Amino acid sequence: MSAHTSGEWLLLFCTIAIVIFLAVTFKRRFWDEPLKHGPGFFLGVKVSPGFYEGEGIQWLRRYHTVVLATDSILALAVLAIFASGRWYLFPVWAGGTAVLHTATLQGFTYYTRATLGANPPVHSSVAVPLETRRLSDYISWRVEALIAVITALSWALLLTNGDARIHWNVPVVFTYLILGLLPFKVVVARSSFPLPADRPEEHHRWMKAQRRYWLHVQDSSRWFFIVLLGGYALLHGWHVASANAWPRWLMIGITSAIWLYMAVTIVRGERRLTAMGRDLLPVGSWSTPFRPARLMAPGFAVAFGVWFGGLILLLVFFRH
Amino acid sequence: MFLTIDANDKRPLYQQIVDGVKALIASGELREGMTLPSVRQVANDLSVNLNTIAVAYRQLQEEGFLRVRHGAGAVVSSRLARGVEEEALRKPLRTALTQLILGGRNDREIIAAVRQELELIRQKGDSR
Repeated sequence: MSAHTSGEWLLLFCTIAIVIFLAVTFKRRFWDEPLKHGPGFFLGVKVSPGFYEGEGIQWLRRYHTVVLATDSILALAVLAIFASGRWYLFPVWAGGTAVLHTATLQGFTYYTRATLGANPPVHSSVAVPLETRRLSDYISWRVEALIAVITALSWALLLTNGDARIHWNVPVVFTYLILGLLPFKVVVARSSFPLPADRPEEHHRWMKAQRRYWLHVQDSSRWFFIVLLGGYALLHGWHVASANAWPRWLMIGITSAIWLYMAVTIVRGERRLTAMGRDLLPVGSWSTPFRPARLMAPGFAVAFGVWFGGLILLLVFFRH
Repeated sequence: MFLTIDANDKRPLYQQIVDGVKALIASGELREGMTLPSVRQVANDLSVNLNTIAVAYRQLQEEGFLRVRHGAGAVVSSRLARGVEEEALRKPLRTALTQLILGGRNDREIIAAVRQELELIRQKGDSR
């Protein structure tokens, strides 16, 4: 490996800091996820007393294997980036950690609900909040317009002034991530679940906090990719940026800061939701006579599947 | 503010919604000008047919409690039922009183029970 520049040392430092942060904080959060609601539940599925002395051992082992496999893939990817010296891939890896963790955790949770929690307890009473929900309560259309303008300007710069070194798959993937997450926001903002008639206020407060948390995480990830797209357009479409090293490092610095902010948001948000929902019934752990138990809002799984599938197709088949 | 729906209740679902909204209006928790969620939102929250909620809202509108705005929810328009004759108001009271008499309560106990229930309705509104 050639001698590192000061910028590369900075990136190395940031990466190590993030990996330590992931290992110490994230790992603990993911590892204990099945027990988040106490020993009476496994990943939000109600289990019988003594579960963790019998069948639960297998379930925990399966879950921990998936967590370890996910983190091993991420560790190998970051090692490959170091070994090959392709530092520009680091932001993609940082964003990929969030996507991969979410996809594997949600996938395993779905599997658990479909097998272990296939027949959830049915409650005859259900509470309905008489509170009006509007999309504009959760989505700022001005910010969405700003995002659209930055995206359009980035593309305009690349198309009119782009140099010969542009890999078109990069702005296409970033644009897909930025715009593709908007339908998710709509699904999340509209999501709702029946509330148990027992302590409906607390369940409702928890549901609203969860909705805000998910939107916050999505917004952070979108801004992460917006900075990457804008930075890419500047580096390949503005000669001052391409001729100097500092714009590249500025972009990496900003994206790393956003990523760190996103990580802190996730950890703090999860901690807060766990504290709020410790004694409450997890979503999807019970059913009503009117509707089956649902882990996610209708449309969320479909939207996520389409979006994630599209992303994989783009990454695999669209090389230049 | 919440409506509680019970699948074991003998009343149909739409009637539980009508009665629940009326109870909230009577207690003062729902005041004139306050907005209720749209038919679509309530149907989605309960995962029941849109028509079930639409029927409940239509009945509340016909009785003068709600003004439904298409696509934007419904507004509480009045605390007083519209066009309900004295006889229609007294009929359920008479049924309830008959039940109390048949249950062996004397006049004093019945009046005390009525006062107590009225107080409960008012307290519910004041506590908000």
